Amino acid sequence: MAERRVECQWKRHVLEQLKLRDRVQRHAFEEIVHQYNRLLEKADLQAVLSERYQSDKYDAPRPHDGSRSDALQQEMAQMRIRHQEELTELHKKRGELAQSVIDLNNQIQQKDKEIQSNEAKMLEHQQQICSLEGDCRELRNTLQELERANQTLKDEYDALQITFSALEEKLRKTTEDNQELVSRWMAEKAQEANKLNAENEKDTRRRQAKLQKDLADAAKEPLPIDPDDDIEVLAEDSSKGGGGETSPHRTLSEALPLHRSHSLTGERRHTNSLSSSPENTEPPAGACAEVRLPTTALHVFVSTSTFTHRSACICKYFYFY
Amino acid sequence: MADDKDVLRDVWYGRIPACFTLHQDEVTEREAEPYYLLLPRVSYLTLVTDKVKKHFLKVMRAEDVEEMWFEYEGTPLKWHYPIGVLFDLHGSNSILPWSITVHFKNFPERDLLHCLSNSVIEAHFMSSIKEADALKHKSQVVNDMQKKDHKQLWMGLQNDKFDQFWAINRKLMEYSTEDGGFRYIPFRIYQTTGERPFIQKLFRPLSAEGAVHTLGDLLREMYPAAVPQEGEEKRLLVVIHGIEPLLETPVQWLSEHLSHPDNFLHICVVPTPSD
Repeated sequence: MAERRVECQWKRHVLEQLKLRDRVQRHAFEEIVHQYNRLLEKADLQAVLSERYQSDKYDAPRPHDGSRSDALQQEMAQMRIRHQEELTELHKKRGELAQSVIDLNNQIQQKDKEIQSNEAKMLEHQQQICSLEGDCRELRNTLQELERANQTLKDEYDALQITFSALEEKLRKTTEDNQELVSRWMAEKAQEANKLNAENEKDTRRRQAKLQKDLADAAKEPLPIDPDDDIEVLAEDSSKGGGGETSPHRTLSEALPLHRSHSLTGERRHTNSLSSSPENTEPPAGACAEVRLPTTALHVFVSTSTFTHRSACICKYFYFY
Repeated sequence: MADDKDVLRDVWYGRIPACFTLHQDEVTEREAEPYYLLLPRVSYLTLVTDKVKKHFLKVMRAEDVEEMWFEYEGTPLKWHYPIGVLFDLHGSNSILPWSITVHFKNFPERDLLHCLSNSVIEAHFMSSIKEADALKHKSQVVNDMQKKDHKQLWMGLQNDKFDQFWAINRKLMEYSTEDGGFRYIPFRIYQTTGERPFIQKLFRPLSAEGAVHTLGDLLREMYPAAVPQEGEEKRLLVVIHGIEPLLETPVQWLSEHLSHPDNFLHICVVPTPSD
């Protein structure tokens, strides 16, 4: 409570001091200063007026002293009229100015409205710009995506192209190799066939020579053969020649003495083998004629199948042989 | 509190009667009448003397007119101090109305700042407000304000609109209750003697123990000579807005209520009148 009183004390002191200050410094002078300024203004106006009055007075013709007051009164009346006119003019002017104030206010309102509408329009356009920008961004993104996809496809295509050309190259090489191998193989087979043919020929010739020789030997040997028998044998031989091949030999072995039969067995094998030869030699001769290389090269891969087929045929022939 | 509002109003509407007379060396076409004016204590000389200028220009030739400046008993008056400060500092011993001499020539470049337009005053005023808020709230309040709030402060002062000014200035005087006051008190102590124009230092409204700092504490720290010792005769007066507050008045309250519109507490220390 005491503290509050203390607080009040310094605050009250400030307030009182301020009031006192204002009483001394402000209120005492407020009215005087105001009045003085009014007087000053009035004096200024008076000075202006008197100046004008003086100039008017000098312009006017100087009247006689007798009619001075009269003239003065007239002048005063004139001045009053002039001032009245001036006043009415000023009133008119004020009216005009008031009108113009109203007009200008209206204009301001109109402009404000315009500004508002423009602002609204601007806002709208801003929004439109925003949305269009968004669209543009989206489209750009799509374009980018498409470009990326396109690039990927192009890359893939290039890679495939490279693979393709590599494979083509490989195919070409393989085809060449194949051709070469086939030609080499054909050549080898031809050689082999020739060799076989030659050997066969040689063999045949040798056998024939041997047979001839044997025949000759056998012919050389003196045999106790009846001429009938001989004829018989011959007849038998000629009759049985086409049917069985063993018959001459059998007859031969029968006809041959026993001690010779042993030595003849070795021969018999020979003859046995020989015996088949007349029959077998014939087809080889035909086969030999058949073993021929295809004179035309097989260029096209498609025709390989026919070729292989044919070569298979040849192989079969060989196998047969 | 109603009392506090009254203080604010009284401070705002404080007036000083002044009589402006043209200096005798100025060349005139006819005799210049003196001009009387009630000067607002919280405003600036060059802001309220348009009428004075107009009055004297009527009697002068245009070629004789340079920048207008004011002088009291040989001391050029600094327009960038509030009028109340100028009066309390230089003219408190003079009889009223305060007689100011008007010059249009020989501008004292060394003593005064040029003031060619009101925008110069505005810049000075706003920079003072910002400086004060830097001390009070680390500039947070003034920086949070909008440009139009700054303008309203200035227009309030320029057009002498108490309500317009205080609608915004109220924010600059706020502080959180837990702090118990501003960070520092923006104050300036003026003296007629001494080489420094004024004393301005950091001073907290509360002591480290949380006790309230008073005007006496402030003066004892900044200007010990202004506080009379026991049994000593009072030689110096401590004047704020033309009054002498009690030394036990808290500085926080003074800063809130007796600050000028520039948010500074301007304290004048003047010698006691001899007679």
